[in-house]
Amino acid sequence: MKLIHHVTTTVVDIRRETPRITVYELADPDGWDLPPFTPGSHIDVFLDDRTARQYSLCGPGSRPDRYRIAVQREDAGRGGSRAIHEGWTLGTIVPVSLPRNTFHMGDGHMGDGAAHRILVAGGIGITPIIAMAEALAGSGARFELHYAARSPEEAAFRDALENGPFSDRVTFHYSNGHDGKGNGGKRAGRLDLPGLLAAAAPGTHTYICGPKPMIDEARDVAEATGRDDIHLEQFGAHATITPGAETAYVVDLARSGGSVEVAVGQTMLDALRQAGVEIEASCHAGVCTSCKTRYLAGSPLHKDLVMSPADRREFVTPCVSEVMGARIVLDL
Amino acid sequence: MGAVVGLHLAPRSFLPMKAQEELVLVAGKGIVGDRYEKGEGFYSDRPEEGRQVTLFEVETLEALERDHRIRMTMGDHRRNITTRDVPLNHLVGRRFRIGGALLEATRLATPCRHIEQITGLEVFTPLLNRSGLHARILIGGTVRMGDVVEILT
Ligand code: FES
Repeated sequence: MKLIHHVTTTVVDIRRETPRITVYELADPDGWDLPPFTPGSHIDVFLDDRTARQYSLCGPGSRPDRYRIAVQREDAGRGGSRAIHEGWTLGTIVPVSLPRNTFHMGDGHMGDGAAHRILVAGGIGITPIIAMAEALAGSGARFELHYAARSPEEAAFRDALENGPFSDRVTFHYSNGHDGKGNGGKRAGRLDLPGLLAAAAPGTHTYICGPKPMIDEARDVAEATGRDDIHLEQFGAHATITPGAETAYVVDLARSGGSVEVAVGQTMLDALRQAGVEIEASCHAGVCTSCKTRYLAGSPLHKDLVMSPADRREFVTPCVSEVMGARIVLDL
Repeated sequence: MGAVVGLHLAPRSFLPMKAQEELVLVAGKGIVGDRYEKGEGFYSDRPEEGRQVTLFEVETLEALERDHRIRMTMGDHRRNITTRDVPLNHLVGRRFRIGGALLEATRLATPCRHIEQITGLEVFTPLLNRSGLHARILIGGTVRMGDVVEILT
């Protein structure tokens, strides 16, 4: 892997946050400032040439020379989080991407113009939310934060949320019924997300990051009411994707004139690469758009998680997407 | 007379460029502490003898803002030396002195997507033909803010 084509960082701090979550701080090897990021951003962390994982930057907003990520060990996952937990020590060199923000508060920093913001985190979805809360608190903006976790022991960043400068705006929702007696922050029962959204005053923007059921619940409300002030980021979205074609199809290459067969269980990206077509890819999960390719005919079955409807009419992400029908023509 | 209005470097690709009061130029090599001197630049895998120092006109930044409403700082263009009142495009093949150093202009810089990636600004097209100058260092020395650029024949 060419380090010069990535942002080169080194692990400078490791802290066990909960039994499954470990927090890593990354810095430039010389302590130089890192490329800046806005709250809600994430980076791709490269484990090797072909493997990258996305992690939200949890801050710290006050340190331009640090990226902080929280990695939850997923033993049933694809192995990325395990490789990090077992392999990273102080001084490990970690190539990462530039920060990207697909979950930002309007154009630019807090550009949504909201009078009030509701931040909702489910589980490890707290990672981008805490960066947003820190920024909002720092600028004196009005907000409240709801954090749903199974138990206090499994809630990450609990100390900062209970005792930090904005603990008075935090409500914990523990699903195991635990009242989680802590120092700061309020305690409430199970999170009633539809209720919370329905009660939001006009001019409020809501930012939600959590597991799929939570996001689905919020999306249903947004679709039913046509509201555009509900912003969603599904955590661990890539884990729900099983790449690979369900039926075989053919990819025609408009420029080079060839065609490539994609077999059942194969991804379009792998088939293209095996046929010697050079195509960039980073996340292999439909998140980073580095494999984004223009198509000229055919109907893609889009499985990316980030492209706009307008983009989808023009482009396809071969790392995860498939094809409806027997052929697709790519502008390659 | 033309002069130096900005000095910047970064130790590795992608990192923000930081303003400096002075740069130390080493003949035949580059700028002490800069990514291209250390072989850690984005293009270091395609080394180029004539790209030991890069220069950029501050007037281009002003034109981008005026004509395209694109706001770029002297750190964003990622060249090392920003000048005012120096016709950089006319220097190719010529020698010039800045501070204690003697440079020879090798070629015009081309705009690069790397900058767009980093700044998130669409500047590739507006920067065509005015994206700065590459130079080789004939005699090393220190370059300071405000130093005059003296064009030799
Ligand atoms: S490789 Fe990231 S979207 Fe395809």
